[in-house]
Amino acid sequence: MPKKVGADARHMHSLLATAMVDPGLLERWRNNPRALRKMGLRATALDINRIWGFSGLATKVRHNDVRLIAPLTFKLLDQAGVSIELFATYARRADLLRKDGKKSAPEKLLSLSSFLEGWLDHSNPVHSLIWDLIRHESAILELQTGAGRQSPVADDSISIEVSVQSVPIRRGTVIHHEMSCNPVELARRLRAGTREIALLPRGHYYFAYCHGSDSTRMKIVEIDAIGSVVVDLSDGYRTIGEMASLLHQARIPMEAEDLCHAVRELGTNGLLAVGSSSGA
Amino acid sequence: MNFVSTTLSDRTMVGLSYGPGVPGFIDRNPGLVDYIELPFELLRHDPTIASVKNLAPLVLHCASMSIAGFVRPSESTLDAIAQQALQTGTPWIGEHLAFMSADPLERGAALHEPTTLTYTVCPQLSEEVVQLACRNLVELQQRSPVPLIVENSPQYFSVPGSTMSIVDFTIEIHRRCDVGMLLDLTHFTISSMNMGFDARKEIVRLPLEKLVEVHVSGLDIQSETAWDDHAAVADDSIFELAETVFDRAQPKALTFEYNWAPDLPDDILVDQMARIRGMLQHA
Repeated sequence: MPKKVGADARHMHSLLATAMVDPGLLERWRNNPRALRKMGLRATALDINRIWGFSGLATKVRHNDVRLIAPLTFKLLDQAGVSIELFATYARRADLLRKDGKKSAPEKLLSLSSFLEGWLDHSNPVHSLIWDLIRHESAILELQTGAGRQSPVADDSISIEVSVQSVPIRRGTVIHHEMSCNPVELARRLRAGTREIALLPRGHYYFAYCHGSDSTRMKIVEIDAIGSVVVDLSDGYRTIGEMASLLHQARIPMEAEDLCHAVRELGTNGLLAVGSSSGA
Repeated sequence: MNFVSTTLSDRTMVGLSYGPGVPGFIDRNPGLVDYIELPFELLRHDPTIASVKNLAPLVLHCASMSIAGFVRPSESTLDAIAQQALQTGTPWIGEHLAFMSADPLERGAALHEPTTLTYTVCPQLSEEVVQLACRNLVELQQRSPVPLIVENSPQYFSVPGSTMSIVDFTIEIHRRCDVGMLLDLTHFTISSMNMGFDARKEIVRLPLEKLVEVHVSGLDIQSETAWDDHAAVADDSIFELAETVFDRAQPKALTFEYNWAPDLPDDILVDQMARIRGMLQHA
């Protein structure tokens, strides 16, 4: 055990190692550098911010398995210059996750994604792209690994009869998100190594992810705001007429015929199947 | 192909640090990669990774010896390193001039077990640590079936009590210890940027006659600090530094450490390998 305090090498190594394995302690020192006096050091003796950044680097490296399943998100975090700060802030939660035994890459990605939602400044255009991309890569991963998969799998391009009495249901797993850009184009540009992501058209985009006609294929379909609402409400129990009533109650005026049209489109794209109210 | 015999030739071998993209790259670019550098820790965690020796000879890299640390590795770790050195047929083991384990902090929660990290840390740069590292190196070298070579750490911050620069620290280690040099050009550049010295002036002060292996990777600048980044490719400044080194010494091996990047385009890596080979030929 080290006996001396202050800048004794053995003590300093202990202090640095402890700070690296205890993100909470490091955070306390960062918030109150005078606490270092208890360790025999002046408050200014340690560059706490850089040590904090170093813990961010170490945490980022410990997520290299997550980088394998969400490579473009990591690339964008680095390009945006926020990965060190993000992982330094995230270190404490990552530590808790590890202690909880949640060590698989998909579990770590889920936790990171949940943390990012709160950490990102969604009014910042670059941060919005990061939020788009992690949900895009997570959706693809979920479909590829079959996590949460529901049967039946979608058929491509089905022509379906739709009326107000129809009861739409999602065909298998359908994940959909509102995005600030076209995430497929964002991914393409990042893969190509272009730094022109700032020039991507921005706005309100809606994308749905589902299996194709066989479970090994995947489809990414751009839908619209109405389509997004319809996918949400298509639970296999509600008729289109009931959906319209529900939306009216929520002060979202939408005619049943518009919903029928949206269901037809979504059915054609393989996202929804349709039954009748008698069979629902 | 026998790595040891080929290193006896004049040619510098050019290899890749193991990552998931390496087998595919070798498959698509036969004859381009002279060796694969494997971390001992990865091999210990997943011994099946050793099968990549069917693709290229192996060089063992290590982060577990804690050369500049006060807590020695366990006997089982040292035995496992020696065993892997024999099994892989590595010509040497590259180890960081850093520490990985430390005593528990007196006022900390864990009072008995050493604190062990998953990442090496640049030590205090002082006479005390130079002496410690030299003692450790002598002892560790005796335990190793192949020569050890030591790698310069990236310096992100100054450890209180440091009395010398990382360049002087490295010079002192090599002056006092009979050990080969693994010069990580990116770590050296990162240290120069963070600690404010001129990399091209300082690198020629190193005892480059001890040079065995060179590491090249990318770096990333965030929050006004340069950070190691094996997902990014080396920029021109790293290649210029390599040229300065090759004018004075020829390493036996040069490793591209792009092992965090699963999707690095082949053409970028092929170009960088050709650029380095061209520089080595004309040095």
